[in-house]
This record gives sequence, structure tokens and C-alpha cells, in this order.
Amino acid sequence: MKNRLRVLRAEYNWSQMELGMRVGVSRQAINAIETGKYDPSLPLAMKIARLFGTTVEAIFELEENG
Amino acid sequence: MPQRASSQHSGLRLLKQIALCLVVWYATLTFVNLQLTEREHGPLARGVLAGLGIAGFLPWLFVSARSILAQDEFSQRRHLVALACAFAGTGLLSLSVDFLQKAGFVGDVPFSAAWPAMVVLWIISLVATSRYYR
Repeated sequence: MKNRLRVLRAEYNWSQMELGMRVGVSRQAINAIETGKYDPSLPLAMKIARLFGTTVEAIFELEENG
Repeated sequence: MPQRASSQHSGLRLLKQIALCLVVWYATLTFVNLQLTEREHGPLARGVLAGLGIAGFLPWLFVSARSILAQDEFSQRRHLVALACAFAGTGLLSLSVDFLQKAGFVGDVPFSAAWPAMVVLWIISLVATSRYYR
């Protein structure tokens, strides 16, 4: 799954640690999501979307072969 | 940051709990082993001692399970992957030891030796997943 998390985080000028604390996960979790190594659960994806004031689909996108 | 300090505090508390559980485990293990191998006891006392030996291990299991459940979903995923690797590795190891024993290359190995092997593999796998997701 592709995502725009790194871009959004940069817009808000938040570190991975700061974003992680805001949604209740570790810095490593945010890094793994940003690099596409880990797909978050639906509740976490919704928490992230709500934090950035947008929808899950606007942040996460299912790749064609995904 | 207060949240970070709180997280460090809970991490320290967890380490203390794990250390305490290991001390309890080691103490009961030593005591029970000593009683069962060095002293004569009746069937009831031997049963109680065996139960004590098992019970001494339970706090460690409880604290470990609770600490994993308290972590975020990503850390739980890492533990799942690490435990799966440890499980497969322990299976491979026990199978290898079994065949090596039959072939006469290895002497008797206690069944309980599989547990520390699994813990070591679990830790190695956790380090490996940590490096992968870094």
C-alpha cells in the first residue's frame, strides 16, 4: 500500500516520534508505515486520517497489484 | 515531553518486573531442583515441589504476555514474526538434535533445553525485525 504520510507529516513539521505519540504508536511504527513495510490497522489509519483532518483514502492508496 | 517520560517510566517498571520474575523463577528452580535431587521426600511433597517449580515460572509468563499486549500494534506484529521464527527455529533445532542423537553424535539433552533455545531465537528474531523495520 502506498501512502502520503511522510508528505503530510512534513507539512505539519512533525517528527516521526511526535506523530507516533499523537496517534499512540512508536517512532518505528511510523517509519515502517512511511516506508511501506507495514500497513496500519484500520483504527490506526483512521486515527492518522483524523489527526490530519482528512480521509483514510486521501492518505493510503491500494496499489494495483495489492 | 511528559508522554515520553511516562513511557520511559513504564519501560523501567517493566524491566524491574521482568528482573523480579527472573529472580523468583531462578530461586524456585534452584530450590525445587535441590529438594528433588538431594533430599528424600514423600509422594505428596514431591508433587507440591513439582507444582512449586511450575508456579515459579508463571509470573514471568504473565509479565511477558502483559508487556506484549501493552505495546502498540506494530510492536505486537514484530513479536508475532519473531515468535513464529523462534517456533520454526526451535522445531528445526529439536529435530536436528533428535537425528544427531540417533546417529550417536549428541548425548542426552533434557527436554526443557528447548525453552532457553526458543527464548534465544525469539530475542535474535526481535533484533532482526528491529533492524529490518529501522
